[in-house]
Amino acid sequence: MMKKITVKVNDKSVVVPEGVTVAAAVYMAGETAFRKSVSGQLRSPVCGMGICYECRVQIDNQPHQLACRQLCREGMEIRTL
Amino acid sequence: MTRIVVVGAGPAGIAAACRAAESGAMVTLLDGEPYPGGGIWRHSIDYSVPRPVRNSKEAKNMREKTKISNGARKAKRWFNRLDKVGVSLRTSETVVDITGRSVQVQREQGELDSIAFDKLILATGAHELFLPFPGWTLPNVMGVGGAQALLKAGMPVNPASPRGGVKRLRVVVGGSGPLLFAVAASLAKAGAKIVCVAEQTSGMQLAKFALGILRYQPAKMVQGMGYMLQYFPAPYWPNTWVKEARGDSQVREVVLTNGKRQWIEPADLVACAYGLVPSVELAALAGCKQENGRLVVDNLQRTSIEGFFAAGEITGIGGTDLAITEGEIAGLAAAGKAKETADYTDYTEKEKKQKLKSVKSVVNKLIARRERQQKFARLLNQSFALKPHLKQLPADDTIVCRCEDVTFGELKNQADQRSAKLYTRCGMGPCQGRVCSSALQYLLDWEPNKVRPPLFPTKIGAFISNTESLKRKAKK
Repeated sequence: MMKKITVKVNDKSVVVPEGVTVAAAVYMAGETAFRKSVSGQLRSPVCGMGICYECRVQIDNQPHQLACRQLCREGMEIRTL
Repeated sequence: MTRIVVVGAGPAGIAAACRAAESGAMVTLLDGEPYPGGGIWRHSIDYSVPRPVRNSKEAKNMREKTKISNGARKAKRWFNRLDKVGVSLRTSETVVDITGRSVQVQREQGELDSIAFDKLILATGAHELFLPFPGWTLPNVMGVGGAQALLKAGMPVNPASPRGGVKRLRVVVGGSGPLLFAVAASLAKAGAKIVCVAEQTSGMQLAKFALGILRYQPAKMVQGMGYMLQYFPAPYWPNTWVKEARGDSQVREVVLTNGKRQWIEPADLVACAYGLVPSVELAALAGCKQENGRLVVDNLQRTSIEGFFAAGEITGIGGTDLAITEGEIAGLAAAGKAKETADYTDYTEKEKKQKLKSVKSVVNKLIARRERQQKFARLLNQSFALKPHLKQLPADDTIVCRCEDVTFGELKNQADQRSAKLYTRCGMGPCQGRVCSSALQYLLDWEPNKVRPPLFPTKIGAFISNTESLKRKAKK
């Protein structure tokens, strides 16, 4: 059985399998928008591999973290937009 | 002992690392992703997920618990080989700069480290070509490989519906290339409902491609048919492309066209990309010679810089098998096991063939194999060449630079990439033009901007405390 961990996405607890990326957890929480662009548009990941920078979220109070490239850790606090 | 650094742990990088290490070199294999495998051999979350690894022993333990996705026996063979040879595998480490004979890598937490080498093998792969169309910035409009990567990382395509039950996402797959089949199949397998697959190339080109596959790689035909069965009964439309995406907080529908008429299809997710472009940024920063956006290499995968080799998609898009062969040759050559005997550049075709037959060395076999595989690569590139009318995709108010929100209207009258950057901030955001520059090279025939370090956004504190980078500044 795969180990499960709990993270928070915008204060909502989400249980995810260990080893999924932060991006996956954001989708599992039901969010589709990850960040707001410089002119205020909603955006979500495009490349899935760390080049487009559209997946930027706040992780444990650190802004501009790439959700596609970081794996979820127990207790992680993720914030979109 | 020769210290070899391989940048990029996809098929080319893994093959290069294996061959070099087996030849007695001390090999470090770097990749920015948490897992090795690159875009194509990335692990699927469906099959239990490994942790990032620091050494090959850990990698071995991890692999024993992991099944490789896509039934990729070939991938598994290479991963096993990598485990055996004792390569120092460093994942979640991104190369941000290169100075002389050392690369600077940034770890996940932002700190920098310097790794010295005698020989460097560049296997940085490729990224997708995204062409801007109205609405492409809406949430849930993504790349084709992008959708595949996110899916493998755990993105659900049949999430719980707010009204109870499960909501199957309706997906339109668009763009160009054989990847469209594979990704439509994976999405369908994961529970998405494929609405249609829209391929920009013509039915005639596809027929030629099919015949070519039967000739060069019949096994791939079987694979392709298998993919089609998986997303059956969704239609596959050649000569069709996504003209516009519409929605509110996310995409809801797309406008498709075949040039003559247009129609609307519903979509909760759009996966659209127009093939791959070589990721040459690091090579360009190092000063390796390029031609038409790809790296120039000789018969032994040597670049224009002494001691620098290149393999895989950065030398031209050719697929996994060609990447592996190139990687093997580069690995052997970098470790000094492929001598000049294999360099037949000055021979005629006939002489070369005879020579290759008579000398049964490993590297010559590989070179012969590479020639066969390059035929398939050429077929691939011809069959999915982009139609010129795709240059009309963006409207004046379509955003091209997604980091700085610069529209096509603001850009089309600029002289070149550099003036666009200075006047509109196009390409000055965190992606450093990786998305918009590739698009503009196609849309307006612009030359790419000069590459400058750091290659990826780097914490200023980490950059200052890194002595190698300071030395570079001091020298200038």
